[in-house]
Amino acid sequence: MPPDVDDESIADDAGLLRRIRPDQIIDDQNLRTRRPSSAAFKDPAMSVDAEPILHRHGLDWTFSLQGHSGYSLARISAGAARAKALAVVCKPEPGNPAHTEVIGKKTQGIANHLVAASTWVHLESQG
Amino acid sequence: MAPASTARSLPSYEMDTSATETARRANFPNFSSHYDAPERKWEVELVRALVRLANLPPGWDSYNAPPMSRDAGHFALEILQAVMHPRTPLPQVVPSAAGGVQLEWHEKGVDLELHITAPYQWELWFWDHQEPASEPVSLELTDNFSALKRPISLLTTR
Repeated sequence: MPPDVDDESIADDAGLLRRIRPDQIIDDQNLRTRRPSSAAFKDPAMSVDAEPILHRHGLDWTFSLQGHSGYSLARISAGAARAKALAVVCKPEPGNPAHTEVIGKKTQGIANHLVAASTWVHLESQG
Repeated sequence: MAPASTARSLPSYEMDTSATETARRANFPNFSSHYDAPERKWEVELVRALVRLANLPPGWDSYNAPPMSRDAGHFALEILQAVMHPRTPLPQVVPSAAGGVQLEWHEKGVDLELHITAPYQWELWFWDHQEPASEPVSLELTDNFSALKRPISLLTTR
């Protein structure tokens, strides 16, 4: 199997979309907001959808939520991942040409860096 | 009058004795022992949350996340039993995309996260925002719970 090499064709400002399950959204009373838990970003081979690839195929963020009712969607930039020495690797799957993995160990510090760099694309209402 | 052995009032969690709950207790003996003799309200709530996470199927996050192991859940309970005080707020219990469970508090100017993947394999993240010039602390830990003393004290007394 070839090594997981960072895909330089994905620009630093490219959006990477990650579905967030309802029970991975926490109430941060310090920030007075609902945000993804860092636990949602701990997978060493974290699956995301690369927005530039979605757009090339005539798709947008709604594609990432198809069939996943109740989920929210967060965006991080490829540059935010690379800033912590994580590799952004395109791994197309049947039915999802935009599937990409963010590869590398996510310590709590790195996972919280990704949380701080994330924005909501879609946030489901509570309850 | 009911016999003395059955006269004690049942806490509300013991009222919920559906077939599902009974099956869960049978399948998770470590947890069921805490169901049978909980000492504190937070333990009951935590055990409920952990049992729910242990029953998640593989891929529960719509990707490839493994479910939390029962051993990891039991260790999470062990950590809290060692450090919680009566007035310590309850953590939020979050399933981890890496498998395992994360216990987290984000209140009173304190960010505290305990990410537990297996017994004696856990990480701590702590940041006291009310301490001028403080930096986040990120540690990988095994059997030493002493790093929790200060953040739990802040959450309890602040």
